[in-house]
Amino acid sequence: MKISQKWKRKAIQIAAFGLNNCHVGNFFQKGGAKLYTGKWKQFCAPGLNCYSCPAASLSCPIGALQAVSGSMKLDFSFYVVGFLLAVGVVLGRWVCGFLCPFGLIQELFAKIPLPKKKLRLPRFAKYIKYGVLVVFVILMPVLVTNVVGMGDPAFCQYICPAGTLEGGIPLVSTRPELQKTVGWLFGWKMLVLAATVVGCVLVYRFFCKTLCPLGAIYGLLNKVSFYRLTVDEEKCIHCGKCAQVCGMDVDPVKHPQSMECIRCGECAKACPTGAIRLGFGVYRRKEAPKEAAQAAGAAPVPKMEGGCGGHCAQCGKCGTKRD
Amino acid sequence: MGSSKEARMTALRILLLTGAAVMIAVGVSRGEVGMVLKKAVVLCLECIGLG
Repeated sequence: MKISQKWKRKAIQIAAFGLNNCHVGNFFQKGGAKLYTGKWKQFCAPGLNCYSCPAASLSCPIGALQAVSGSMKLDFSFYVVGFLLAVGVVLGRWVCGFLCPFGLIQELFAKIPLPKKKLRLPRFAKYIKYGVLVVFVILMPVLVTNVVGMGDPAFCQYICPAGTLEGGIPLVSTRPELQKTVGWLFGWKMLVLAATVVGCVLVYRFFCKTLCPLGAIYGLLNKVSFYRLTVDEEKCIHCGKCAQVCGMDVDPVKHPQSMECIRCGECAKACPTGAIRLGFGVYRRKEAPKEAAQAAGAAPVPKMEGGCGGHCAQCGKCGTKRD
Repeated sequence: MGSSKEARMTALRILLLTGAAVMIAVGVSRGEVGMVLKKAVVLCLECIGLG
């Protein structure tokens, strides 16, 4: 039995979620939920997953980055930045599409049916996350400090909905001593979480597109990563199906290394001629375009005026139908 | 993509990976691993909206 690309991705996402959150028993401790305190937490997870989640087995890279830069001794974390650079250069935003636990949660929210069609965000929205990265993750923990020189993790404190969902809600709901400390900040974070959930129902991966600083880092490295999307220009018939199916609003033919592409592979699946390939290294075509088109199930048709010519992928743009 | 452009890209990737390895080594030598662990094993009140 052949497993489809969609289910392979889902299986990897679920496995990654499980490995990041394998201490499920911590939710049900006597006296309320407790954190895992083992040595694995000295390592960062590649995706966004709050280390204050009772089930978390690894550290959140964004939280760790702010923890080191907001400390009294150090203003920059070579350890976390080096880790993110290494992961990003090898995989790029494949991490977002396959390994990020909060990415999976957002995709689950997107399954909630809507009476109307999903929305598309304005173009500027995708640039907000770079501002969030610079202001809340890099600058504020270093510049906004208390009397002893320690800075707060501003992104975690004011924005991160993953922290509220995975850590805040389970901890506050099971530990009475924490319930007494709930104030305006918790209310604000619940509001951000509610807005994120609504956003994710209306827009595919709303948080990834607009706010995620980790997505911003991996997005910048998408341009150079070993894992790439390649389009065979000779096979491509410019039918536009790849751009139509892309949940991240990318046109893979025009921008194969787009900073928004999470390498989910939906475009490659939708391509009628198999012109799109995702993987490591350079795409070296082994077969002639005509043979490849026939292998993909496209029948040769006579060349038409203004048509694509060569082979038919049944895109429907020319207005003709195949028998 | 031309082979010279691809070769330049590969060189850049190797340079970035080497840089990443050096940064991790520097971070470990400065004791950042311990700082990350220390922060991750205690409840981060800011992270959950209580700090």
